Amino acid sequence: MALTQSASRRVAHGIGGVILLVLIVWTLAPLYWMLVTSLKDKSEIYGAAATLWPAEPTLENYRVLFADTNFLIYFRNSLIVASATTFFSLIIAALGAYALTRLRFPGRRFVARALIYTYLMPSSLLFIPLLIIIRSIGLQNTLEGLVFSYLGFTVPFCTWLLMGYFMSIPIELEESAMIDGCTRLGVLLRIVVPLTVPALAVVAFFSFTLSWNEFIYASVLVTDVDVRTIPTGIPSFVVGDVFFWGPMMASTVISAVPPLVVYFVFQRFLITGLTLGAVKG
Amino acid sequence: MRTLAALFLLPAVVVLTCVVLYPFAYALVLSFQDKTAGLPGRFIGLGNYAELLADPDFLLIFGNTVWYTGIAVGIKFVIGLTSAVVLNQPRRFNNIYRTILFIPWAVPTLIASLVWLWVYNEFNGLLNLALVRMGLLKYGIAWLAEPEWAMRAVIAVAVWNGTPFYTMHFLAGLQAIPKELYEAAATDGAGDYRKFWHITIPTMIPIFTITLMLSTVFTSTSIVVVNILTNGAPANLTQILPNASFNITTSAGRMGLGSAINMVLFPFLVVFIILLTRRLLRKDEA
Amino acid sequence: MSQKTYSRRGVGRLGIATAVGLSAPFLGVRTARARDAKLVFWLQPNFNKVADDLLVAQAMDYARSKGLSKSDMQIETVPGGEVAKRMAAALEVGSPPDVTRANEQDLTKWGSDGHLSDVTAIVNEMKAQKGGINEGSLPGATYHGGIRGVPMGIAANAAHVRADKFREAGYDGLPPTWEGFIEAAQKITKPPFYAYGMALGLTPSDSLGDVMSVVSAYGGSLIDAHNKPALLSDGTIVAFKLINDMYNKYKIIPRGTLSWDNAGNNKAYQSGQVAYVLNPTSIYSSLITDKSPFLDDTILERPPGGPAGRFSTASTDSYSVFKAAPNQELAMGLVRHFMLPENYNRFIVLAGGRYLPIYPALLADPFWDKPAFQGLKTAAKTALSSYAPGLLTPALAEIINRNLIIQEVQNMLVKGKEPARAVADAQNTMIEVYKRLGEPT
Repeated sequence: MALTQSASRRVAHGIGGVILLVLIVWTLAPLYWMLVTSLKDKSEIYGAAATLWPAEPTLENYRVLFADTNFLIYFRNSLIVASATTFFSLIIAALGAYALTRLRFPGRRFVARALIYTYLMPSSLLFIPLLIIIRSIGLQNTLEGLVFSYLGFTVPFCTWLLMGYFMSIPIELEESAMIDGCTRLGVLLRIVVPLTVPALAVVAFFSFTLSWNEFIYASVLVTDVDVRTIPTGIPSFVVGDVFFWGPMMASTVISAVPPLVVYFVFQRFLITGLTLGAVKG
Repeated sequence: MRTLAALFLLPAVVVLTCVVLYPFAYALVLSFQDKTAGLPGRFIGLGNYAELLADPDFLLIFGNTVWYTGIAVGIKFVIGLTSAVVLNQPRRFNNIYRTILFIPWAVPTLIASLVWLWVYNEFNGLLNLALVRMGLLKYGIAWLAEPEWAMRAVIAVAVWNGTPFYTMHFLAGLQAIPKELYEAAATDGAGDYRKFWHITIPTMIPIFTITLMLSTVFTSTSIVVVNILTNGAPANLTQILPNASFNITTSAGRMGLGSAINMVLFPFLVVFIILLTRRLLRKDEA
Repeated sequence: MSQKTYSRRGVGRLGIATAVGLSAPFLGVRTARARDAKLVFWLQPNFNKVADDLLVAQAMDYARSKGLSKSDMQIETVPGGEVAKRMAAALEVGSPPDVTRANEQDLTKWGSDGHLSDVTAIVNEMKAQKGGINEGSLPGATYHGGIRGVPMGIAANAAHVRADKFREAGYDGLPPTWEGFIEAAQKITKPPFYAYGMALGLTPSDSLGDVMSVVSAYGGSLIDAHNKPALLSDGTIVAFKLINDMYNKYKIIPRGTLSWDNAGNNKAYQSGQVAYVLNPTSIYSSLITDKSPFLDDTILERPPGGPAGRFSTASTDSYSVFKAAPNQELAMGLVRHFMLPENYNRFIVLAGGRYLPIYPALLADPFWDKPAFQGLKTAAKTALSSYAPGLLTPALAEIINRNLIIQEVQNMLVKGKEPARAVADAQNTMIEVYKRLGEPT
């Protein structure tokens, strides 16, 4: 039996709806558990009394988190490191990607390829040699040291993404600007950057989340409590012989917030931004 | 123009030389040494690599790494594409759905792993509580310790955390496909199914490539999920190379062997990337 | 390509976001400092906040008495699980802490690698105190002709037993043999409640203690009196078989133990999911501080025994001073300060049974008269080191740190490896490491 076009479309829509529901449940279930656990008191979290829903919701875990742990310091540090990394990697990557897409010079392909390979190097391989460098330039135990190290993976990632976006801008626009007497830097700043605002937003967003995420470097390059970030601060709850699921889940709830805020800020650019580069790639 | 290019590329080159290339060269040299942290190394040629190949567990761990990466990337790809197609259908509140499906990317991997560790908990985890309440289980399963479940459980976390990266890229790609292409196909009498395979998929190939490449790299080289959930238990069935390397380097201080373990993965990734990007870079040259 | 114009609000928002990004680095910029502290101490948390706070206070007192300012004294909290990672990196760049606590494996590794200063003088001063010190750990702490660690506490494992559960099953206490224990455990185990919270995860300390408490009951040992690998013995094979049966046949051990972290058995016991765990008494002290409902039903005991006897396991932690410390006298002074009997006793009591005192005379403190500690004291008296009858050597330390023995136990439990095979393979793995490090096999 042949379905008419609109009927088949309705079926597809219906199936899509069901799939969407499944995907949403799958996505939210662990987050639900995290949120619910953070609102429970100790006896409800452990033991036979474990519940799917907090019988007596409490903010006690959040109080413990803010009053008894250094979470706020970690949170601040993470914010600083992720923002600074994003800022610098945007500048470095925009310059690099522009050169690699717009300027003809020998060794261009080589540099482009080399960039991808630097992204391949796992941090579990590099962390000790990196520490040697960071220490020799006096940045051990500092947030700057972390930012500098994070550029190692955000720069290739961002440059590679930006190259795709830059390629999708018609070169004629720039040529006419050059004729009007604009310098290369002027072209980059006045023509390319404004046109690729969405792309920059996407790249900024990814480099923010990547640095917000980083764990190995953070656990080796800094030891001082004052300069620890969330991913290295949170495990200190786990390793103690005590129960810390409550405050830990509270801390996880809060530490998911900044990337979400960044997402909301950039949301309108994200989808269009991705589109822009996606055509070429 | 050369000077300008050099000037523009200088910051990237300086940074990457300092924090990636030099450490990499250092690690490469280490992998040929018998080196304990804090003591001078001794050159032993391919000794570390020979030790690895002689270790029966090394093959297991290598296989795990390939399996873990392949399956996780594959599932992320399928779910990501499905999500993107579904989100691309006209539907009310699509904005909200899109945001929800994006959230896992906003949760740092370390934290996602901790959350899942708690979901999987044998006694008080959500998964077991739910299954027991529904009457599907009599009592909880130790998801991370049962040989048949552990790897699947670990992969599920990598998938959960990494899928939005695909969804976002694919959704963007879908929206970028010019409407005219579909309209032209429709006048040729093509159905939705044919349009999907003959227009959507081919147009999306470059996006597929970039997404797969970036994701394969960060799936296969990230240790966090395995490190937090199982650290390789049970009996190395969930161990992967980067985590094994990290453990050897830190707990035994054997930096040489640790570097060698990680180096093994490198050529495979390089080949994979060359294969994947060959067409892409040729296009770029055109 | 789609061109889109952006509303002013959109661009404005992006601008604000960028501004935040721009200004953030300047909010928290701190000047680069290689090391301006005069004394660096790594504090490894004791799972007990008051005890940790006391150590910090004592360290600051010391700093003040030496005329150091607050910023001259740097105390870094390094959780036990992170020590290896941070120390590997720190040693490689030559910036270890001046003073840190070290467990036996750490001490062996750092001591034999030549990173630690000779603290014999401090130990001799301690010996001269009334009642002396427990000297059992000293032979194992001696490298390159000097003592490299000041013993600071004996972590004796005690069986934490839920007496109520055993009573319900018709026993008036913990059965004295493993066979008896298994019989009782089968009656006690009613999933999700399990009898034996045996640590079998890939974490060095607890898992090996649990395994060796069974192995030693049947006369097995890791090494012999000449420090050569000696795991392969009939006793060890019987013990491995027993462990396999407890896990796979009688199912008295929760399946999840294979992926437990260091605190897995603590959590299981403290949340009432198991009736028996072997652990330092940090669990017992947590039960007290948490006002746990299981406190009254908990007794401390020796683990069940076998033909070779009934043994608990114990290890000694030490304070070590690194040779890299710029001011040796200052660093040594901190250890001396911690080990002054009155300072030390306050720490030991606040730590609530985490450690037995290294000065036997301090056991006279009324704190140790609590009935629960009688079992602990018996356990401590009959405790063997996990390496008895030999001493911990660098090769064995590497084997323990890499969990090579526990790996084989896991192979037996989940891959169906024959116990005899698992023991033989573990022995071979040991021999390989011993050979590589040039130790006698």
